[in-house]
Amino acid sequence: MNIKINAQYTALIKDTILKELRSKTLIFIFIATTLLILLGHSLLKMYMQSNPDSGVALISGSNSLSLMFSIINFWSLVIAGIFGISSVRSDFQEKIIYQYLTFPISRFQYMTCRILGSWFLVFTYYLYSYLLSALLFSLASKTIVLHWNHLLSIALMAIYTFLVIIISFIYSLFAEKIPSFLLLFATIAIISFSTNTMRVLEFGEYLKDLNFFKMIGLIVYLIFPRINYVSELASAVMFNEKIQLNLTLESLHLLLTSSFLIFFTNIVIKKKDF
Amino acid sequence: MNVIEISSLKKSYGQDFTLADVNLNVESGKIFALLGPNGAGKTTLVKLMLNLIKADHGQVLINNTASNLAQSRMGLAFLPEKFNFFPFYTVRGVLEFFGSMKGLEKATLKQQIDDAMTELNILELQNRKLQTLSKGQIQRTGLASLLIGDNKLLILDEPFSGLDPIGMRDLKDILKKQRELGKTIFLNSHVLSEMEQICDDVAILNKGEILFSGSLQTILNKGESLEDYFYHLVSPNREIR
Repeated sequence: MNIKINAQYTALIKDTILKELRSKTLIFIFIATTLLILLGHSLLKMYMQSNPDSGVALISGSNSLSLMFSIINFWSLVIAGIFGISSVRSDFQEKIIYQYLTFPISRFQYMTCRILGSWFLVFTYYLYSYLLSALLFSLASKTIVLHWNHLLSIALMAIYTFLVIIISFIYSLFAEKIPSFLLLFATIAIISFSTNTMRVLEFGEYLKDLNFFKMIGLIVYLIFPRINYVSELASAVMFNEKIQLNLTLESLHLLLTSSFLIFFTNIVIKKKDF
Repeated sequence: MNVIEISSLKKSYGQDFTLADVNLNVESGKIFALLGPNGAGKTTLVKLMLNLIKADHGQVLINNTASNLAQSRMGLAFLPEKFNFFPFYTVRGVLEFFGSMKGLEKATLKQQIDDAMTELNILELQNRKLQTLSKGQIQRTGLASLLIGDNKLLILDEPFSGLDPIGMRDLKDILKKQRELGKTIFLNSHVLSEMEQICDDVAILNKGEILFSGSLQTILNKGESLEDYFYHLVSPNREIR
């Protein structure tokens, strides 16, 4: 019997989206973001009416977008964490996981669809928030604040949220929602701390004065995807700022560690008893 | 021909064996009942067959394919003791989703859903969300899901639990009809009276060991009911009153 793999993927991704779309947190964040953008637009408009100089307009429009970009990035991180966790946890809580795993699909396929469905929603939220901000701030400042380099920045944030969802997914296989969420933020904090500490060191200095904490930092620095670099790079690209990174080396590291993370997640879900 | 072949299967939690060296075959086109008291290891065995848990030792083949491969679940449908799905789905929505996961074409799927809902007498519930249905209606939706797709093997976990007499009768009729269509049905239950009415073969599991495996007729030929035979086998030191 031939099974249409594409139809299965589509059905399972759609199922993930339908499930997570009902998340109260998403609805709250969606409404809060929209109100915040509308408020920003009104304030900027009022400011522009009292300062009609075009140079000020461009700066104000960009500044407002910059502030919104930081807020949207943070909320995207929160939503990515929530969806990454709840995409699997709710299957456990509702005791529906058995239904999914008895379909003629592999566990890898189940995992991929849950991750892609969650990612689609987070990215849609991100795009909506960003484009609405750019449109309203452009209208308020009567300048175009959207540029081509923003597309690259959005693509980088897409990678960032994807990796956050994978990390959340792993934790959700073992822990309840709140502990998984705390573990996710602890992981992001540790990755951030270790990369910020290790990035200033030369390669030869990695093993110098090695103590317990430095060793942990070094392990995290070497084997985890340096996701904070991705978000830093996204900001730098968006605002044409300079960033001290060896892009070739960091891209290669990100590719390898992300592949390892996906490989590891697959091993974990394959071996897990349900 | 065997649809399910279980050989040297072992599974333990901690130091106690939940399943100790289980060997079992289920023939095609029959209704097979796995019987056993609570805690006998029945659910563990079903979970191993469905690859929901990993065996410590041994192998399960479903249609000659190792149960850890997704292909082994092609043509297999499973109904848990309490069927459940996300409450925002409608009855038709659930069945459409199940059909999509089984790779059915839209036209075939629509026809199968209509037939299944008619058979289970839930056609008028098709646009109702699961959250608005009674337990019995949800279980009927689960039963309808068994009829979606080209399933050769149906696995039902405690199918009679929670059903009213009409539901029980309907279920028995559906299972008999599916057998007539050449499908193999694996039932995991401890409702012996119902099993005696519909099954062809039985296996009795107690404390992780298969105490009997064979045809129901073999038991009945001994002049004992299934219930008496089960009772003797599982509790040999007790007398039947």
